[in-house]
Amino acid sequence: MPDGCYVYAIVPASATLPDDATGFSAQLWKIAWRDIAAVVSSTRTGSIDPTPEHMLMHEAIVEALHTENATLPARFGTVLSDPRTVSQALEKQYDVLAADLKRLGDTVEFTVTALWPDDQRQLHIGQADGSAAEHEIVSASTVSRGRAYMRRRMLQYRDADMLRKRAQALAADVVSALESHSIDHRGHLCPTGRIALRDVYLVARGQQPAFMAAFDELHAQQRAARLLLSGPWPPYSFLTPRRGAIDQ
Amino acid sequence: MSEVSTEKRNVTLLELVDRLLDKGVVLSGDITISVADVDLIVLGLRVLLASVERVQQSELGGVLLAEPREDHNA
Repeated sequence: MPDGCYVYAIVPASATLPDDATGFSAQLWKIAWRDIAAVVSSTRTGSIDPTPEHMLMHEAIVEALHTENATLPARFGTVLSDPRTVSQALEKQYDVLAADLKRLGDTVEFTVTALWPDDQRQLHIGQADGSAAEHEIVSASTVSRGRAYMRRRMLQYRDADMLRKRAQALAADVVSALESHSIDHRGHLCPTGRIALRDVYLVARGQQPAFMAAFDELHAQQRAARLLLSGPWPPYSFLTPRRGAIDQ
Repeated sequence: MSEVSTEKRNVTLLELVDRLLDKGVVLSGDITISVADVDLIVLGLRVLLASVERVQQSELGGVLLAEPREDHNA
């Protein structure tokens, strides 16, 4: 079975690889096109299963590269047939990749996640605005089924709207505290019932200490939700989207 | 492991999976898969070898991945 090339990341062609660096059972090496290169390892199979161990190995290699070089992380599971195909892919996307390396090379990203505390989540459901009585009426057997259904739906929308407004207020506080220490940020409000918001911040390497100090201060002051910080990550979330990609 | 530590670990694992499977540079190209010494060339295949649904079936999925998402610019 011929070897394929598993791609971990895009780096400057002059980038240094970690000492004794090995990927999925093979040594890391670079395939260059002009002044950019893909960091790859040979793989005997056409696929690498997305097990926790494999994903952690992929990420460990990307982060080791990112510690020393400008690095654009590749999506997990990218296997191309041979080095020539890798070069052709780099050539095809050269302008975007080179621009992203220049724009993102010296940056990291952090994720701020806010979790609703259990006791406050219950308060959202019909109690904070005095609609608890209405929730009870919906449950009463004297109300017709249809009417009860419509009332339940109305209350669900109202509860969701109130939850969203609380999340928006929280998001404003978080952004206010952190945006001056970042280059860019993107957010999701209420991605799940337990998560109030998930924001991703692009931070210059030199700004990392200030950003983390600002988060610590915000964490100490914030009472509306439990804040979690993860990172620094390589700048996965701020890459230029690829045109015509199948999943976009 | 405390509840907070468990939540934090789950959030971090979720973020790792989200980044690795849904973000990052995508290079497309021919991929050659050999079956019994016969090369099968798939043209223009962007190789995403797992879906989020497959990951949801694994231990990493957990509650956080199972709940629906709502996109919004904060």
